[in-house]
Amino acid sequence: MRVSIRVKFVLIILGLLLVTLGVNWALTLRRHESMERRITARQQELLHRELQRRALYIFSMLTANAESLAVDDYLTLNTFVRQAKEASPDVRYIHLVQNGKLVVPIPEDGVAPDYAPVEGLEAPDTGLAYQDHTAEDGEPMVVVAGPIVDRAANLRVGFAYVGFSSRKIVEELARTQVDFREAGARTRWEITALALGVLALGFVSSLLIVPLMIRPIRRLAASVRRVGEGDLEHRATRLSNDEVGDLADHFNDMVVNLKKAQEDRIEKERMKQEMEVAMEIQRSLFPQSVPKTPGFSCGAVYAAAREVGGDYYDFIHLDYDGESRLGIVVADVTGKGVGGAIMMAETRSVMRAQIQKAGTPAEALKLTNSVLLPDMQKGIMFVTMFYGMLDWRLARMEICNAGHNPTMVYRAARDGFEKITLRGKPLGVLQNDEFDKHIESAAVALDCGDILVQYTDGVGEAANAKEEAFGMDRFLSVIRKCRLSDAQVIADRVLDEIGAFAGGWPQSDDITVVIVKRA
Amino acid sequence: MEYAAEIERAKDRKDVTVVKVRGFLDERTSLELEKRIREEIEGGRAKIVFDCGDLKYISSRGFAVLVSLHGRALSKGGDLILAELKASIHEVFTVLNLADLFKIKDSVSQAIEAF
Repeated sequence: MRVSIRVKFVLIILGLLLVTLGVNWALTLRRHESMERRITARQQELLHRELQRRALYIFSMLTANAESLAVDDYLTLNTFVRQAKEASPDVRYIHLVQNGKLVVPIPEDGVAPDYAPVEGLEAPDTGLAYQDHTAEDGEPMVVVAGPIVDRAANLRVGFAYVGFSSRKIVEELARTQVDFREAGARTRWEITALALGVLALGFVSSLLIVPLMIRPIRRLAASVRRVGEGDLEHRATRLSNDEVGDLADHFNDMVVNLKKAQEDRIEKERMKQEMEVAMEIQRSLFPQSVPKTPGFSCGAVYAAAREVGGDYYDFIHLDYDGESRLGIVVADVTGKGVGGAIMMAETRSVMRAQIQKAGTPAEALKLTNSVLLPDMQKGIMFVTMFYGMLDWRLARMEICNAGHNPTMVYRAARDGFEKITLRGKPLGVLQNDEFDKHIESAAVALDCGDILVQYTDGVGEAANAKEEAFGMDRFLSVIRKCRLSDAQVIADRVLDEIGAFAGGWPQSDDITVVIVKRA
Repeated sequence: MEYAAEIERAKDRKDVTVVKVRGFLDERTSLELEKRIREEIEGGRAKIVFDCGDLKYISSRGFAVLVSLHGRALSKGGDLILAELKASIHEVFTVLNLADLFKIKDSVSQAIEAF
């Protein structure tokens, strides 16, 4: 269920106010009750003290007249009692009792009746006793009983029972209680009204304030939507100097980074596409198929370490005075990647052009060096190259090497390899005369089953996760194992074995293998 | 890949510059080094001893850089002499058939003396 911030805010304020109100009610009620109890008790005590004072006064007056009682002069006392009652309307009666008989007020018939004090009250020998009591007419009373002592004779001459009406006291107490309760209730209602007022105010202000507070959030949400729809130029405005403002700043940072990441991705994608194009172009520079030569099979594999590389091989059909030859080139241009690929393309073009002019492989390399040298020196590069010219009629190949890996020839007759190392410096290093001085060529006769193997250093250097190199021994043993197969099968097998050996470990250099086998 | 190169004057022979390279001379680092040494040579300090004692690996680009600097040093009347070449690196020089282009000495001091 979706609950907006505004509703949540209002509900929270409402809840808080209700809780405050409830607690307030409970607290005031309790306090008022305890206060009421305390005040009632205090008032009761005060009234009781007042009663005591008046009782003491009456008893002291009676004691002063104790002599009259001692001599049975009831008339004096009767007068005193009457006057005392008249003076204090709340004194309902003063009964003087002698030997269990009520002697004052003087009975009308003159015969003193037996006196029965109110239940539970017995006059003490000394001091005063108090007893609450309800008269027959329902009047609330406090009866005070005590002895009347003739001080001169130090003799107790009788007892007095004074009945005070406590109606006034009770009424006073009740009134106080009512007043107090009313005051309490009023206070509570005032608090309630105040709380309700605050509640209403809170509600109204939440209606007014919350939209103000959530405005930056709404604006930010709109910005998020806009960016989400793809507008990466959009920036959120910092509307408030608080957490939402910080969020807006972070959001803007995020959009900047997002934009950059997207641009990087596009750039990478573009680069990738261009590399793919370069790869396609380079691939088209390689022979699309191996040549078919009577009595020989040729095979070649190439695996670049990156998308494009600096290795290359080429098969070129040559025509010398009507006699057909097959030119075979394996070369390694310094550097990998695009730089290597560019120089590879140049080397290939130059080589192809010069081969046709040259009569021998050595001459072809010399011409190529002279053309390539300036460019190679500028680019701080060189090319190592093997060039062989196969005369398939004579089963003979004239080979030349410009600083490239030695040529290996599997000799079927003795089931072993022959290594042919030729002098010759890489192309693009030495001036013509120096280069020409070093170049050397050899004629290699191929018997049935012989296999000529030319490769680049990527073969021997191919490594696995343990940083072991594939090495020449493994390479040659693969060839020996497949010696009965077709040349292309052997070349493919070499690449497979290298792949299996590396086990997914990245290839550090381009790999090229060219196989020429006499059937 | 670790790589560091120090280019200093030889102690007793102020006209000889000793370049000591540690780690890997690959595509990137060899071009950086080429620029630094080329500035030395262009600045008239064309007698260079290249100390390969701590060189772990050198790519074909690294060889191309050495060949290029060697040619430059020669043209300025100096030379670039290799010292303390490890067997593995020497072997690559041999395969490339470039070893005989350079003077190669067993130690830096021998290389300095060769000037």
